[in-house]
Amino acid sequence: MLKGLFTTSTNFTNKSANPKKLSDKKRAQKYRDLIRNEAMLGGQVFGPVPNGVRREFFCLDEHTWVWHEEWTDQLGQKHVQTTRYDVRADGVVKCQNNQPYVRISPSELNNLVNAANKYVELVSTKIYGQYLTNN
Amino acid sequence: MNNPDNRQFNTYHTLSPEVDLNDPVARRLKAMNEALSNISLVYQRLNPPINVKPEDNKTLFEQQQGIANAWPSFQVIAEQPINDKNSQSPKPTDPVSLARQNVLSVFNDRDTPKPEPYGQEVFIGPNGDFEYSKGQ
Repeated sequence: MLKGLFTTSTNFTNKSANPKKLSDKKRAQKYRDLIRNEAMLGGQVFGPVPNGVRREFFCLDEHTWVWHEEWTDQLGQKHVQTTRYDVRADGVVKCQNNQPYVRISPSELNNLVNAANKYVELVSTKIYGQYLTNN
Repeated sequence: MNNPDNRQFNTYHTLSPEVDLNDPVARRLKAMNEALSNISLVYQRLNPPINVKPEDNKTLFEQQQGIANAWPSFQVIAEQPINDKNSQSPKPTDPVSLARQNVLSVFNDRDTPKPEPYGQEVFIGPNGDFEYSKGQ
């Protein structure tokens, strides 16, 4: 089985414990678990994931989006590609597999914005529904 | 989603008042909403609307003023009475506006001597304007 950028260690539950009783370490652990769950769900934003492909897409922080993909080719060789998008005031740059940053094209920005919208919509519904209210 | 110019950004979600920001869920939601807001702002900044939709209650001039108001250098030109020497309105500071103002003021200033057409007699007409005799 392919292991993604994140592997799910615990099952996320919406029944959150009282946050005041959580230690800093447990809060940090829970925060990471939330991102793991979002990443797995975010992989579905782009449509059905082909067999043998692990795809994760998630919001890392206020300025960073990550697309991680793993697949095995016909020769049995495993490929991993992680694309990190950094949102800056003057545009969006990306870094793939620790290569230098490059500015993304307008069409790629368009796709990224669409994906981010879909991601928030999906995650808000499937994971955080009980915490959110609609205006 | 197919038409990016008409997209509706998902900024309508708000946190319930009872959610404690120490809660990892609340922090996560806050980060996610800010991330979406940030990327949406960058997109809108890089993709300003090109077509101005006609608005029934606004004249074309008012619509153009709306665009000008969003563009500071245009706004300065629009608000600056070029030939009014008593005007107290602020002077444009950007080089383009200054150059444009200088050019226009030369052409519109009545005190500036106008070039004398070759072979024509110049006199002052009844309206105080320069007039020229018809050439032979």
